[in-house]
Amino acid sequence: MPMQRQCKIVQNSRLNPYAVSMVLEVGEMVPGTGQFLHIKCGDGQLLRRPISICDWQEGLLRIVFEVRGEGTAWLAERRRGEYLDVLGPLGHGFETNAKGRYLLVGGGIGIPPLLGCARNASGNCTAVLGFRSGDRAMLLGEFASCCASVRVASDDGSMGVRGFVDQVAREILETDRDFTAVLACGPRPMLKSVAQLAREFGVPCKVSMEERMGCGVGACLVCACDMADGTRKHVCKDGPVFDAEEVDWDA
Amino acid sequence: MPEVDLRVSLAGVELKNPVVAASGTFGFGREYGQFYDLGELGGICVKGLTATRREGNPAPRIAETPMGILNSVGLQNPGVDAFIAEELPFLRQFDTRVIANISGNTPEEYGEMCEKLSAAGVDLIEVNISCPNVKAGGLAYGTRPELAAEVTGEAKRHAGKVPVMVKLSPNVTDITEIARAAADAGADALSLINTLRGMRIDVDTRRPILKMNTGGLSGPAVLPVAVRMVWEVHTAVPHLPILGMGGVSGGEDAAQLMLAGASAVAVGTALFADPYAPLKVRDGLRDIAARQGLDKVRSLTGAVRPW
Ligand SMILES: Cc1cc2nc3c(=O)[nH]c(=O)nc-3n(C[C@H](O)[C@H](O)[C@H](O)COP(=O)(O)OP(=O)(O)OC[C@H]3O[C@@H](n4cnc5c(N)ncnc54)[C@H](O)[C@@H]3O)c2cc1C
Ligand SMILES: Cc1cc2nc3c(=O)[nH]c(=O)nc-3n(C[C@H](O)[C@H](O)[C@H](O)COP(=O)(O)O)c2cc1C
Ligand code: FES
Repeated sequence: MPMQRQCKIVQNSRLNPYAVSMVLEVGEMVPGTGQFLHIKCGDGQLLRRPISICDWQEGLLRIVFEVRGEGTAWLAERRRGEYLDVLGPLGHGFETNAKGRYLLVGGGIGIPPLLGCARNASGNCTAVLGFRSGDRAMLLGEFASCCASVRVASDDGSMGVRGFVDQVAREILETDRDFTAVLACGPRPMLKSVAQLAREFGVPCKVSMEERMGCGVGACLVCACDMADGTRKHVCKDGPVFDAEEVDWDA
Repeated sequence: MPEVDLRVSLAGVELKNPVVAASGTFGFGREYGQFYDLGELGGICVKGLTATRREGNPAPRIAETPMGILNSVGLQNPGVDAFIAEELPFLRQFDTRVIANISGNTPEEYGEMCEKLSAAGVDLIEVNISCPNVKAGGLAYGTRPELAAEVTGEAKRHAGKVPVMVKLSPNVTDITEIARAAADAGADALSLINTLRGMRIDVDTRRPILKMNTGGLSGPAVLPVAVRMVWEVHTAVPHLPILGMGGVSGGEDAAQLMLAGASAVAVGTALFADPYAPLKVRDGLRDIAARQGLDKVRSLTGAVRPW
């Protein structure tokens, strides 16, 4: 059940020049991996901002975000001890199984929610993490601590392999396709490539989609996502995680 | 503070308090029903219904603007039959008024929907002649008096005992013209305002944020326009009750609309920032009435003292 709550910030730290990690006291809120919070970012912004749940443990919830515009800039400035007006947990997340072995594919700010997946799975997961450049890298140590293998790619080659995560994922799948599922989060073109790849190798694939939101709870219908069957579902309520086969990638 | 009677009447339908959820911002009640008892509301205007299922417009469908939002949902809904079968029984569990909002492509479609909804048992029918997002029909009905009258007449002929409330578009030169046309054609109440047409462009990509390029503006930015239009319409057709809306997020905003002539108010966009906004508006109205020593909130209606 979603709720509205004033959540105390207990930690605010920088992961790199762009990304902020924040830990919130969320009380009785019990989120699943891949769900998100809808956060009020001051009185200047009418709309809340959707931010994925990165990790959660007994009343403490972590979010990781990059500053993009005024809302996330305001959020980044909030200090320990301040309170945030939060709606959550919202949406349908990744349904991870404690015995599952997943291929986690993340790009940029799509990486944080995959950490929760890795922690909830078998310890036998492989993570492929992509950044624009090395100075934007984050959470590498934490993925390494709960995954069997972590591979890194960067667009400019300043860290890991030069290129995109789907190339690395292809190399992995060519030798080993024994994964419970591919779980992916990142920009839409990346998700599209990963979805194609998973289909080619016959591995189930779940993707976390982004869309501009209003209510965040399924009431206003602004966050439409085109489905392969010609219908339009809603990212905040039916998603953000969808089966890759359900999505109309050509829309 | 003395007890304030919050009950109001809208076209003969008694609401337990003057605060209604605005059409298209509250779905069919299920989502916000997770946060509070829907029976706390005076009424619920459901998402705009059409004769058959519609998937609406492609995303992005929302853009944030200074103290407002633009939307271009385009009437995504399951169709009137699915509403009656799957959503109305749920809404009927709550002690609140159910207002069905309808949009048609032809006067006959409005008539057919009214007949079905009247038979199914809703408390009020809100005839949307103003939705700016549908290329066919919608906008034209709300901007031309003779078409507004035709649709109103057709709705009245098929709505049976259920009162018909006509929802007016602000995207006109003189809103009182349309209001009079609807009144003369038999409307039992009027609701206003729907969204104002607007546009926002991303300067770097030179693309409009909305995939449909333009959309409807709502939220606090439109409140003064809504207050002015409610006042003009109330002055032009003082015998017709008005459901006022547009930018209401607190008791003070609602009181302004009531003073301008509204019998009740709807709250829409404010929900996105605060799911509890309608309840706060209700409590704020009660506080204002109490502070002013009023024993009933309905005595605010039309009580503005213009210069
Ligand atoms: C389900 C979901 C989960 C997300 N999780 C994360 C996360 O964990 N970490 C993170 O850094 N970012 C995440 N994002 C993206 C984040 O919501 C945007 O970066 C943020 O809304 C930008 O707000 P702003 O005011 O800083 O930017 P502005 O560009 O000024 O925002 C203007 C408007 O556009 C919307 N908007 C802008 N970019 C996006 C976007 N990419 N997706 C949706 N709406 C957008 C804003 O919400 C706001 O309404 C997520 C988005 C979604 C939909
Ligand atoms: C996302 C969204 C969807 C809407 N859908 C409808 C609709 O289906 N039918 C309708 O008559 N009005 C619709 N409206 C208009 C609202 O009911 C209301 O008239 C308008 O938003 C002004 O009120 P507000 O500023 O409180 O939101 C919609 C508004 C929004 C923001
Ligand atoms: S944001 Fe309102 S339905 Fe998704």
